[in-house]
Amino acid sequence: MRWWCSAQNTAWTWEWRPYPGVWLFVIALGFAIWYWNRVGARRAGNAPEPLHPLSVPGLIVLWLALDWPIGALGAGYLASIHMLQFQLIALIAAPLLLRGVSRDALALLLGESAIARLVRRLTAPLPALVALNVTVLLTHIPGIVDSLMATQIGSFLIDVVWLLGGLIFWWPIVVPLPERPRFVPALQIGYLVLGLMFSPVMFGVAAFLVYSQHPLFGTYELAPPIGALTSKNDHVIAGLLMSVGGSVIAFIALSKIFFEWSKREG
Amino acid sequence: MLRTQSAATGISGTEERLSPIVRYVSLLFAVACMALTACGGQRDAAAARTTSVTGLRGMPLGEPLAKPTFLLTRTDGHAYDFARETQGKVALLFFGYTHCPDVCPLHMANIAAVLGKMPWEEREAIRVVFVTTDPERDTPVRLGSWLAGFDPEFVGLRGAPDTINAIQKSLGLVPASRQPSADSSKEYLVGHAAQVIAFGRDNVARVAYPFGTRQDDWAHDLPMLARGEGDTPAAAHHDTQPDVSLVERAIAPAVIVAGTDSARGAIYLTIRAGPMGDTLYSVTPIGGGVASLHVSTASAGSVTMKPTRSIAIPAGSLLAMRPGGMHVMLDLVSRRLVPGSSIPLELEFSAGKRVIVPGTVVTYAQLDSVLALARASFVAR
Repeated sequence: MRWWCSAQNTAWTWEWRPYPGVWLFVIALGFAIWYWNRVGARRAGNAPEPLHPLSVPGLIVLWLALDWPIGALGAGYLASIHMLQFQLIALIAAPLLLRGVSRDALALLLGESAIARLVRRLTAPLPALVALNVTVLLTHIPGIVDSLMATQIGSFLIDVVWLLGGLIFWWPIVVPLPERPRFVPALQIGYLVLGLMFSPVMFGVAAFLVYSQHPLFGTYELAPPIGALTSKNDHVIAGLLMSVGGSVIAFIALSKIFFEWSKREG
Repeated sequence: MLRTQSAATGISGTEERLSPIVRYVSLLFAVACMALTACGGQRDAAAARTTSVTGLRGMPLGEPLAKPTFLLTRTDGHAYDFARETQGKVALLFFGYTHCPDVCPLHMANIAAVLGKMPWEEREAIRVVFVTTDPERDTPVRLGSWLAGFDPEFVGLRGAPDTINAIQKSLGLVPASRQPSADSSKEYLVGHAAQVIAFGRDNVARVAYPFGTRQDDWAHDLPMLARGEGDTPAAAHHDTQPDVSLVERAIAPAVIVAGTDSARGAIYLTIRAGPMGDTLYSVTPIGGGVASLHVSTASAGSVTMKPTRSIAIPAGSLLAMRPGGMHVMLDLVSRRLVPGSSIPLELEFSAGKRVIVPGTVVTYAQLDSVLALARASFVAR
């Protein structure tokens, strides 16, 4: 039995396979958020807040992205599903999970501990924007993808890096830290446009996937084929998902910010 | 003023404090950009495989292989003389089967994808020949439509399993073998060699392409092969140069008729020699048994049959064996000749050149018409 999805040389079948590492990871993450909130509430002397209703869908999206069949298909068979995984983990699950962190829990990060300082630095808008784009770039370099996806540890690493990159990127938008009063809605919209909607890195990677003469990733080019989809077409779909998917998610998020902002301003 | 503002806003102040981090990230960013522009390590890895002699990325063969001569059946039912049909072309020869879950469709898809982007002149110089190792399930219709799904120009060949395995052995490949599926409810798998052997335009293979060969590698090598750049000067490889007479020789499938005890019989061959003439030295049934060349001579109203060491075929002429004339005596010893069955035969010609041809067992009643058909096929050519 394998604990995490990774590339395999066997033909794809629709026979369900268990990946216990994924279950443990998702459960552990859910527990960590719950425990963090509980400690935050205790320190603040408040009653623990119930888990935000959006954090559970966040965990479910994360589980769906990592487990069979999406996880297995994305790890070793289809670049397009690999890209879908990225969108689900970094761009959808990450902001939903952040919604689950309570204000009391966040207050723990306002101290002067090393971890608190590191988190504050990493989640400042500019480093956060750079973090996601560097994550995207590094985790889509063919040599890195082909090397890491071949092993369970490597595949796990990519998934975790995506989740961390997504958490860092969405933090300035989703997590209301009182010490960042200047990150007003207009800046948030600009942040989403630059970092996600029209990110040169994302568009660059997408362009390579779509317009390269031959498939970029050996993992997917040499994977046992599924149906009549050619590896090149699979890469084209992956590129379109990267550019269009990111833009759609950014559009939804900035629309929400805009309308809430408009409502507040009256 | 600026300093005060930085301290007050937090954002600018953060940027100042993080400048080493930003510089470090920028460096990573630039390195990653360069790596992506170069399409990562795959191309480098492929380049590392480049052979110093040929400049090709394919896996160099220890010893160059002369193009084999064999006759198999195309999906449209016509005989296909591999050496003759691919003469002067690059021939990519692969043994596989259509139910293959991975290696076969990937090789075919990757070759087809690259050929589709090549200019017509180069593409026209390349023939892709797929020999099925699973003739039981790969019917002509299935094999034809499966290959057409990749490229209608791909040639699909069928033959008796013993014949196919003999051809593979002659190329140093592991013969195909049927293997049960891991899931007993599923159909069986066929273990087979995973490399595509590339015969250059000079009819010699110096490289093979194992599983894992990427489109990038094919795109690098196929134009070179098509231009004959992988070929080496004749003087350097005189021992592997194709025999002209061998290349232009044409052989019809052998006809075998059973004798009275079913283990013995006669083989009738129809062979047209090349422009240099030819000599047949021996016929060996693959799978066991013995065969010997015989000539029949008529004297004083009776026909006498006697063994001969060889049969010479003058340049361009047709050797058409027939009852009462030249033939090959066959003794399978432990096997029986069953009409309709197939027995591959290995023919040895001048200069030790060996050719594998399929042999079909027929009844006496069918013999004359089948031999006439074989002769007629040569007249038609």
